[in-house]
Amino acid sequence: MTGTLEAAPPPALQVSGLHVRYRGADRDAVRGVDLTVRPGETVALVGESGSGKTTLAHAVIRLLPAGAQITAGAVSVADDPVLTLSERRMRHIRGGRIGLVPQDPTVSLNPVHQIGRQLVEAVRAHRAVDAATARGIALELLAQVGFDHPEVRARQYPHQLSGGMRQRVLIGIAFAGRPDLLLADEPTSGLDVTVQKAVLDQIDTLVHERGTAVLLVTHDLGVAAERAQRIVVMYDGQVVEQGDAAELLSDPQHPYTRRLLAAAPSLRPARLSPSTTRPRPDTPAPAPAAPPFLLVDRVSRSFPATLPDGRRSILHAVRDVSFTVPAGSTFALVGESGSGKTTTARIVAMHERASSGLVRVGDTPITGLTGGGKRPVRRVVQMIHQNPFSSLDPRWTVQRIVAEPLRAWRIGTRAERTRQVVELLDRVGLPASVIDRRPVELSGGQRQRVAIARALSIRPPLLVLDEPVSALDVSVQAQVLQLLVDLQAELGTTYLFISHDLAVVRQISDAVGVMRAGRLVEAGPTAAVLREPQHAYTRALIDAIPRPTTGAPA
Amino acid sequence: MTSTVPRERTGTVSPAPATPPSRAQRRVRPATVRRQVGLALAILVVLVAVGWALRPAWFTGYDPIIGVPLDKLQAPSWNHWFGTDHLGRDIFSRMVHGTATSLRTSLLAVAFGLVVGCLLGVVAGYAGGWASDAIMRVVDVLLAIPSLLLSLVIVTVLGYGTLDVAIAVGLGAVATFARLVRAEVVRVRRSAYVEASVGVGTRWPVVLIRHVVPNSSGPVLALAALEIGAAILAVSALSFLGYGSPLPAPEWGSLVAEGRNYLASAWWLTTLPGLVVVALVLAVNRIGRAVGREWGDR
Repeated sequence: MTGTLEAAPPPALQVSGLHVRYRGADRDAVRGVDLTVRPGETVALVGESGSGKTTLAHAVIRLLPAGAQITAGAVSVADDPVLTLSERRMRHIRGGRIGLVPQDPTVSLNPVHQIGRQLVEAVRAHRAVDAATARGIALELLAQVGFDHPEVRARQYPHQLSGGMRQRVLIGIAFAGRPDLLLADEPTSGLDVTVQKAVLDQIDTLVHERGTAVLLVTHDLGVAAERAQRIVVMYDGQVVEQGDAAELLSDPQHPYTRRLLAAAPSLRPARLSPSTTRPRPDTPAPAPAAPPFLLVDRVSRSFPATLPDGRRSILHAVRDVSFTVPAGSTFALVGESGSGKTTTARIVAMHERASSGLVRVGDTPITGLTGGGKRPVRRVVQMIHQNPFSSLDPRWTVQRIVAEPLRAWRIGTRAERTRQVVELLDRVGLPASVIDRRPVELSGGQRQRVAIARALSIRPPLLVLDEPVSALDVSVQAQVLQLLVDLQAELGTTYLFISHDLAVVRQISDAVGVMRAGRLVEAGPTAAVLREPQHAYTRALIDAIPRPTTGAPA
Repeated sequence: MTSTVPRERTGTVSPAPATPPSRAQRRVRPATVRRQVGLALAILVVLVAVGWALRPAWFTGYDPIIGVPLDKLQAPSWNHWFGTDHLGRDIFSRMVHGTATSLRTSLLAVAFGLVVGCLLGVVAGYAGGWASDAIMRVVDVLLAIPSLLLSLVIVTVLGYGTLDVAIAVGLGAVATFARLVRAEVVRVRRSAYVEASVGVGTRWPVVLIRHVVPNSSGPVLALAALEIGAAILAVSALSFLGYGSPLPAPEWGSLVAEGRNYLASAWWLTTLPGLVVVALVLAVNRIGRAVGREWGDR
């Protein structure tokens, strides 16, 4: 479709001057957005949570939550003016013209129906076919989204499928009505990185075969850079920048785009260096001669389990894992969910018992400790939980939360503790004004900072971080990672860092261990492992890091 | 009464959605107004009942025990709001003066159920293992016996005193409380913030008191409010059957029972006291629901 302007088909999606306002809000959540998706084109809509990108996506299919209203603007899909259509016509547009891949595959399928039936339902809603034909089409779709034995799969229920498989089913449903436009709202958040890549590849393949246009809503600029021809950056309800993916990445105009670009872990291969100017006593990577502060020696953890056929068996969550971490350095454990990395971390943090093997912190073996014997070690080992939304007591104030370890160890008087809390908050970059707030009044990034302040209050030499940034927005992720690097430089804390994302790991860790199915399959200095991965699984993980297809930024 | 206060804290909950809902978004709607009026009415009913219990003399001038035989079996009138009984005693006065006994017994019953149930539930939930199994099987047995039957048996053994009746009724509530508390404690105990608290070195009894109990208490308080309604009914039922304060001391259940013989000729003897019991139970339930909703938001 080069040149001939008059023959150009109408855009798959055209949004002009769109305003959306939530009832009672003093300003619009989406403010005057213009957006065009041409047929066959993939456009990424990028922004952090609260930027209005999901509201925009919902406005396009007129599925805004109650209380939200489109106050101005127009949306057209091909030639249909979406905003003025009857609800009856709209049902035809949804699914028929626009396919939706929803955000959370775990809740978007009906748990009591077989997936085949749910696909057939989607097919018959948009095509005038009889049940048998619809079933055939459904099986075909299952095969197209990458299921082997579609007939068997069709009879399975959602709970029998993994998150990635469920998302494939949803992609199949999105394609059931042969849409011209695919609306993918964070289709891979919450999935393992390797699965994420597979799902995005699946979307790419189908889109390519059918010439479907895609509006990909994502918070990850890395994903956008890899998948989209054009990128639209949203911030605070407005489009702040849009353009060709390669150009936008190599020459970002708006400061917010630059910030996003700097925050995207996949676009930033280097290890973060401390931002403090204060001179440090030693180099970031300690000399290899440094004695190991944490020693994990042939640690295993197994659970009794019941197989689907009723037989008793033993599930090995962690098998013979050994590694050492020198004082003041960061060791990262990487792997997908179920690989045993979190169990290993919990054993080190004494929240889980090892079935066999030895863990030594400093000179203290901690694996044999029971009951009260663990308590003294808790001053030495602190853990940051994955989800700052659940690791802080919702009824406590920040002051009480951060002071809890001090109180537990009877450190200082009440007034001294309050002073220390203010200091700690300052150190993790929080204003003293949050001291009387409760967790619900804080954002995710602020909560994780509170959790870090709590852990640091008793100055533990070892900090176990269980996916500390995976529940956070990319830009917040970058800030928290930077904070961790700075604190390490300042306090000399040793980190055991758990992550599923090698892109994050390479920013923070000195050494990395790759776990799969309970075993440590590869370990070594981060740079070496990333440059020359020995194990096939490590290579798969590295491949899963999104990389821009064109013009990577310097 | 918590829910008459505007929800300050819960209003700011949502962790930064596309647009944070603001104050005006929760503009008062007709349904909400109706709900608020209903709640205000319920609170008023309960306050009146509490007033009757604490200061009966403020509400009625008639003696509840000594009647005027000439005025016997009068229908409700301006002088005798609820009418008079076969001995010429003012029913309203007997109702008001009986409130203290009936309410005290009901509250004691709920308190007994709450304390014993919570102790059992917390132990079962926090300790787990065989302790939990043992306690919960006992609780299952309690649940299997109809509560009125259980109360009757216990009253027969213990006697008819206020405390005896309270224990008899309260024991029926122990099972319900224990199950709920155990479920809540198990939920809270698994939460990340409890693990984090243990992780920073807090000793477990402290964790239990500072984290587990406060976070488990919401639904339990709501249930307690509902149980007060049930207890009022149960205590009245026992007193109706004759297991209560000895006559002529007035008590709600025995008032209804006394009037039973005159149902054909003097309907007010049973109907009006019965309606008061119904109104109070409904009011307490209404407040219990409001408490439950308030906590459900967290």
